[in-house]
Amino acid sequence: MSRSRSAAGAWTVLRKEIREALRDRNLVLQLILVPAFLYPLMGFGAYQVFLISQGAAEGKVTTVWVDTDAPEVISAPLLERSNVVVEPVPDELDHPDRAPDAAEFRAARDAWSESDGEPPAVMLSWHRDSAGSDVATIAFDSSRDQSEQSREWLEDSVVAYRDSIVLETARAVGLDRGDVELYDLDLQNTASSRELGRYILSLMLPFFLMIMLAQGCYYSSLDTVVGERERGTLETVLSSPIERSRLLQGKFLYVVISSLVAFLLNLISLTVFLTFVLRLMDVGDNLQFTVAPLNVALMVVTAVLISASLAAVMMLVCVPARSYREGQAALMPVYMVASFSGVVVLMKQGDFTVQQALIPIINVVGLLKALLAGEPPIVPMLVTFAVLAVLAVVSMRYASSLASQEGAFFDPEISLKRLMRMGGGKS
Amino acid sequence: MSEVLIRTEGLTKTYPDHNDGGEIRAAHDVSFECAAGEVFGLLGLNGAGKTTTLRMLSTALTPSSGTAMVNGHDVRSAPRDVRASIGFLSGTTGLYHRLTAREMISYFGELHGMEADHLKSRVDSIIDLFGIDKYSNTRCEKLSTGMKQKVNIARTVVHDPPVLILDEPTSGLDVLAATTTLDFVKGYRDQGKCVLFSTHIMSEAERLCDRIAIIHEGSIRATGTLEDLRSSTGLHYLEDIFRQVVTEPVA
Repeated sequence: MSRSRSAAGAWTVLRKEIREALRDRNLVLQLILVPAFLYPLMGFGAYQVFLISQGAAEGKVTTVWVDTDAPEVISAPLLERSNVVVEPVPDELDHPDRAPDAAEFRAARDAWSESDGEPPAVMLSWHRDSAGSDVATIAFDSSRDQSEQSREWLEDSVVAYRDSIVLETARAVGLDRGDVELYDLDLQNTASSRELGRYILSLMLPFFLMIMLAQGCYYSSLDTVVGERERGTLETVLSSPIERSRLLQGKFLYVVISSLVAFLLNLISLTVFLTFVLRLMDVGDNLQFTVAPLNVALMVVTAVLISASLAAVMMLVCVPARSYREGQAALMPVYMVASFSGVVVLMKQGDFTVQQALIPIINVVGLLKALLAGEPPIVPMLVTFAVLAVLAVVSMRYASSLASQEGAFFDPEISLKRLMRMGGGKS
Repeated sequence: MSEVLIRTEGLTKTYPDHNDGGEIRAAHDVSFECAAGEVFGLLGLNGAGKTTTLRMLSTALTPSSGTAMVNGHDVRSAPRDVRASIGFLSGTTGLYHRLTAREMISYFGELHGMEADHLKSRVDSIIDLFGIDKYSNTRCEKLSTGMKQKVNIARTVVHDPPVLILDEPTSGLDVLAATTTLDFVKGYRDQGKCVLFSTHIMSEAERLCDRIAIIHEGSIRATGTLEDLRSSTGLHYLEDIFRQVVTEPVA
């Protein structure tokens, strides 16, 4: 058989696999619909939750207890809010020489809740200590959004009042604002809207992309390897003249393509979704989610290389499985490692390093993060490409050599361990 | 005698025994010939070595020793030529559920390297021959058992192989689907093709096979036409013959 005819065999297998995959509802759902609609659905859900919570917050009255000894000017900004009610601190908590402690506030709040309905979100008590200084104490509950929000309002108001007193006192002795405050603090953010957008993208997107790559390989490996055995079509295919290596190539290409489709759809879906969200949020030019075409190309190269490795490993792991259930059980550890080990990089601050580039998966997530964030570091990127290329070639060759062992498909007691021993020539 | 298309001599297959470190002999010194226009039956119990022998002939397994020629090609040195010469079908062979009957048959034609024009006309004629034209564009998962078996046979012979290897092809089939298969085997033999047919069902072997080899514990214990076996054992029914042959101590 000529070389071109052999290659045609791989193409025949690939076409058949793709045709079958496009008719499989589960595969279409997992590899096309989920990546395509993941972000819009997540975004829509988050937006609805936001609207509901905002509506609930707007309609909900927040009660704030303020000590009658506190200057009235502190309550004024709170009273301007339509959904805030300011009430005096109850007598039992109004100690002349000290502020009520957290336990007292909590007990009073709970008792209030049982008898009078809506409990106070926050309490400001005001007393004078033994040294003659006024002390403002804010009691709040950081586990409740409403209390936390009220605490911020109250704190801003207290601090503003203190600043106004300081200024007033300074003016009384002939000093102006500059003499008292000494300097102004001016924060200048050098990040452009584009850089800020890239930073936000790099926070979570590499993680999702890696999951999609692993998911693409997972489902298609199961379908093309275990499915062939479970349907009882394996032996008939192996008794046709196509070389086993060509059969494997066709199936391998199918798994890689599935993975890349999931990856690219994920990327496109996110871009379209973010553009839509930006319009919805009306942020104007403050945030831009754009990635340079070169970086996108480098991301695709990265995806191709890791897909090739994952495809070879996952297909190999599937070989001994006799059923989908066995295949799923065997693949799950590989899928989990591939999907989640990259989180380490996302949690870690700092640049993408050569050390990270030496570790598969970690290097993929690290490089994707760097490419999304801006200019990729050249040396770690090249190291990553080299590591992934070597890994892809080695895993493909190893998988190919194992698949050519007759026991891989016809030993009734085949297991992954025994398959690996075959690769070491110990069958 | 017609041209011999399958010839095995001392075909043996051993596996390492992972339990005691020894060897398991799945097939031992298997020798027989099968000619064009003949149905040769390999009759044996489950685990007798039938499937191992057929897998060596289809090149899925490499013989540990011995030789086998299929359509003039050595299974060791020219496995692809051997595979191009055979059609292989077993009772557990399935179909690709999400392909249509036509796509299924065409796929195997392509795997056999058939050219597009020839393949199309061959698929059309074979669909017509098996009477599956009405269902040719239906996905295999929606076909009845009998129709599935027809598609399975059609894809087995789409490349018109001179040799057919059938490994218990009726196992698990209902009566109608099994009959379809047996009728097809007879017809294929009548076209001058060589059919190697393994089974453990005596009535099938009696009805269908021109010659029978009784295989037991990896070795062929007796070979001949049904009349040969009757005269050598003095028994009439194949079931009785089989029982006597497999219980006889090996010489």
